[in-house]
Amino acid sequence: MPEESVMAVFQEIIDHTQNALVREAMDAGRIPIGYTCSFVPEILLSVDGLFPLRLRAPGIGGTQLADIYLPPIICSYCRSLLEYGMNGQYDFLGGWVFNHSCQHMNRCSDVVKSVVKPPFVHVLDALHTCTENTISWMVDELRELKEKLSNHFDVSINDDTLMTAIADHNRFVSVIQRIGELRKLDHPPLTGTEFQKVMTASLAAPKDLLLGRVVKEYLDLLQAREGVRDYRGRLMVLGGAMDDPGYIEIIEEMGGLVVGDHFCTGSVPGLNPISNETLDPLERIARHTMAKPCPRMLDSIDVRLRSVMQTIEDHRVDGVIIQQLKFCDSMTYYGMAMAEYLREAKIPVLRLDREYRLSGEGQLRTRVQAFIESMGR
Amino acid sequence: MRAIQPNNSESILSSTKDNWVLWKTIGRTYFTAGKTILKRRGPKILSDAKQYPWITELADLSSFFRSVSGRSGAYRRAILTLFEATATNVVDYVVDVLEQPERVVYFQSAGLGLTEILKSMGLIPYVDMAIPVVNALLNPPSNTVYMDAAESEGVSSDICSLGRSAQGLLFKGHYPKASVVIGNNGCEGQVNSSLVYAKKLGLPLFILDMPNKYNTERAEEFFAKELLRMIEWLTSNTPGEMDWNRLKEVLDGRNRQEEAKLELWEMMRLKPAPLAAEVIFLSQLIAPTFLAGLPEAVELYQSLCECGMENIRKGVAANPNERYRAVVWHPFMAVHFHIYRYLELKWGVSVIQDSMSYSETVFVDTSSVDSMMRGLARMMLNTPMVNIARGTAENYFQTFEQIVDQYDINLVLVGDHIGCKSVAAMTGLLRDRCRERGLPAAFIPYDLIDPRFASMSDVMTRFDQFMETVLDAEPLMETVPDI
Repeated sequence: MPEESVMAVFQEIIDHTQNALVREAMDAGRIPIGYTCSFVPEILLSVDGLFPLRLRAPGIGGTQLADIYLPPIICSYCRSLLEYGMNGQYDFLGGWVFNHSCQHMNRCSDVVKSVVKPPFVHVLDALHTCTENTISWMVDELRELKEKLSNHFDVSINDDTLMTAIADHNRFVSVIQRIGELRKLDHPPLTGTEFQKVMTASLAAPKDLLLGRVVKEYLDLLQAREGVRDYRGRLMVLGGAMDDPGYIEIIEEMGGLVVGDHFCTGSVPGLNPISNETLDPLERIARHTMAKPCPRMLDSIDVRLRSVMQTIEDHRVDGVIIQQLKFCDSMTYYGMAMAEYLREAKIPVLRLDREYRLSGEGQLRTRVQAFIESMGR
Repeated sequence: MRAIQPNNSESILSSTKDNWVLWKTIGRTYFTAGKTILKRRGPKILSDAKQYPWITELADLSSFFRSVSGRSGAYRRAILTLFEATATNVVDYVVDVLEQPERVVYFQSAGLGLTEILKSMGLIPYVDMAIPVVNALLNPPSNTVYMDAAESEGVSSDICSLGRSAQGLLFKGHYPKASVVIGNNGCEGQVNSSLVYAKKLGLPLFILDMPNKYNTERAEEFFAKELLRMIEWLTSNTPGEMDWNRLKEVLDGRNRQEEAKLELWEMMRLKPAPLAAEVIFLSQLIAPTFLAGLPEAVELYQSLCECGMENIRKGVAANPNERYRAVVWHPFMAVHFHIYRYLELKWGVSVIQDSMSYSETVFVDTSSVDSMMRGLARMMLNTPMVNIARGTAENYFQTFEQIVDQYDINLVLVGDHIGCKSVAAMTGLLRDRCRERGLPAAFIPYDLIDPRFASMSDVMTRFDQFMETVLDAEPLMETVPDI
């Protein structure tokens, strides 16, 4: 497949929630389950005919319906999902699985249950610290979700099917990690925008189909490509969930090259293989999930900082952009603390507030341009 | 208990006796507070006031005492009792914090249960939001300087003003010294701020993790383990050590306190009510925050109950013109608390209960360490803040229905605090529920702490418009004295 066609496949997946690969899977009798947070383990939604789709609202114009229930001080990601739900744009889903990621999403799940009334809704309660006590709580949570999925969809979720799903997950992760490794090069063969397109597509389509059809082919194409040379500075983006590659594109249009990321719809905290430490698959999934260094986790800022510093070193990052959805309480404090730590380490930092829907491009361009200039680039 | 008959002979104008009660309370309050300061801090209070300028703000209690205007008899005495208790206990609290910084533990939510644990360990609890709340009650604009300081440091202006004020104190260096930080807020937005506290103060941080599915046996069992983990951590990181016998005493006292509280709440079911408004929300602010488990907490509730009983015996209502029995849903209007007197006098609205005071009453079994931890876990997981800010809409509406049914509520006053996203995100569903039940509901946008968002005048106008247009009510008076 020519390079343009490969990228067109990614773009089609990103632009449409019911994209070609989703339709193909549904035609084959598979059931899509929407989820909202990287703490909802995709593994549990990837067994016996189910497949996970990260809930997104591509191309959303406004949130007129959702605003009736969720006012404008609620994060625009939650409002956008509700708008999609109220408009019937997610009627093709077999169910919604939320995590109690934050209070915005918690209340969004309440409104979805009361107003959208999907056939299946479950809210997972992943806690905010990673200890033996919270992992044990998470195992119980996963068991409850497993039983509800099994009963509602009449699917078989057992140790064997879970182990298979874990192996599939790890296989997919290893391919993405190989792509991610290329970003460490002086002249990476891909831009941050392209990488983000791959990542977003991986959340918006069945991974097995995506891997077989385009991802491996894309990796082969990258091996033969020349590296990107015309950039002014190597940047890293951290913060909250971001599924619109358009934001990265704007940063790169201003001369930055995004070579690293640290947000759950990117590569670092979201995509790691699940270890073989224990035999019980639910415990393995619980440990893997609770160890994610996400801003919602309150006891892991040191772990996150170490991970960020390691990425900065490995990818030779010149400056860091901390982005957050406007009105996000978790990210406000995470951003403050992280910015202070990074500045202490003499790393240039830019903090950006944004909406879920790509907007305010002019202001964004100006701020990124000024940031790159302030770095002496 | 016989029903109270409305008694319009009670004048809203203060009698000589009412005035005497007021001046006597003012004198006693200043005398007690002054004696504590002189005895325990002496001249050091001057340098304290220089280092922590909010101490000076606490000296002006005129807002408290002005708010009894138009309230008379036993109802007035009950409110004054609470103002006196608030002022004197805040002074004790501040002096405790200043005296032994190595034993001070910062935490975030007026944690029903956490205070009991800390005191039993010989530690001094410091609730970060206590000073901003007291500031808002006494002098509403006084927090603005702290909110601005927080915003200058990067805290978003959409973050709850209560949190921003507390963080502003931190950034301006007006925070008393402490030894550790505990992130324990029922509100997740605020618990996140503990990262900043710990970083800024360079103090060890413990996060007390609360499940979202809080009202289950599993959650209690989980949280009891979290409490034990916290006690172990505090033992390692502070000079405190748990005295289990002391905890038993405190919790036994706490159980007596809960009994006394229930007696007060039971009175509020009478129509018209013998007491109202501040008596409910200030008692629930002071007793669990400052007096948890102490005999003084029981005495406070008992003295309030005596005032209520006196009114019942005399057949006198707190509000002689009670036409509407209201629940204040979401935070009470700290910054404009005179609005409750305004509603009573102008519109005949008695505030009977509020959602930030009401919670499941938990009696703790003190027979063993395990049962105490389970009881404390249940208590802490059922605090109003957890109920409002966590869990499902079903839990939230269950509490709402309980209050409406138990207290025969016929008006819902929604304090639509602009900084609370959890509250904001429930207003749509709450509006639907009120319509289903045929309950009139006034949604009043305001800010809990910041008078710049909606002034007292704005709030009064919104209520007036609601009463006139939605309820088609006639005012009982055109202007209310001292507002």
